Amino acid sequence: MIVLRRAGALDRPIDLIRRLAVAGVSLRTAHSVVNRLADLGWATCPVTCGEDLRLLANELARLNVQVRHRVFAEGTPDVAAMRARQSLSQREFADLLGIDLRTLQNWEQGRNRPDAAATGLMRVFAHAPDVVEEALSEPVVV
Amino acid sequence: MPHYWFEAFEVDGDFVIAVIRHGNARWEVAATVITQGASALLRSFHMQGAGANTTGAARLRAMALWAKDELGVEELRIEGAARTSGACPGRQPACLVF
Repeated sequence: MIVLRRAGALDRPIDLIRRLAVAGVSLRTAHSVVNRLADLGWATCPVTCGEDLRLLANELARLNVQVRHRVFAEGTPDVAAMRARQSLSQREFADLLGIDLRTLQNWEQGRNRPDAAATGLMRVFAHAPDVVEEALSEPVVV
Repeated sequence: MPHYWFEAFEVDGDFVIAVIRHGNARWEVAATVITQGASALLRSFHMQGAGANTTGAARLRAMALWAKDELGVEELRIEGAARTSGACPGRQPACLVF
């Protein structure tokens, strides 16, 4: 799976549909992808594993589309380091993520590893901690 | 006066890409095609090929009236996809009925 991001005007939407089809995406799906790109500015897109992403990115760049590939964390993420960078205690970090303190400790000490969803959340946290804080809390109405 | 004609089609289920010619001019259009009785709906319609500001309302209307005859329907509705270029990219254009 790749993520496409609109980087300018999509003057050739049908060329884009066709190029995605060459990458193994059905025409119907490619149409939906282009519609989402037009509407939201980004879209996920299923391309075949054998596709040369560098070549695809080069060609789509000419159509004002940036290709981004999904980042899969290798091994166990360094949860303690992510937390330490934000100067959070284990309790604060666990409360922020809405997980049990024991779970966090198990992750940090390597007894368990976070699943894919939790790893993704921590990657978002490492990238934009404010976004996670804002998404997971809301102001108390006064 | 040359006529419009369909030069090629690519079809995937109800999704169609068509190449339309008119003299030396060439357009490519893409849409999900839904037919209901004597009416055809082109949903999430895209168009490319003739260059910026070369396909105005009058040309689009002429093309749509021709396509209506070609498809053998009494009504053709075009729901454009969100604009990909030109004025106000991202804006959802109004549905056109011919």
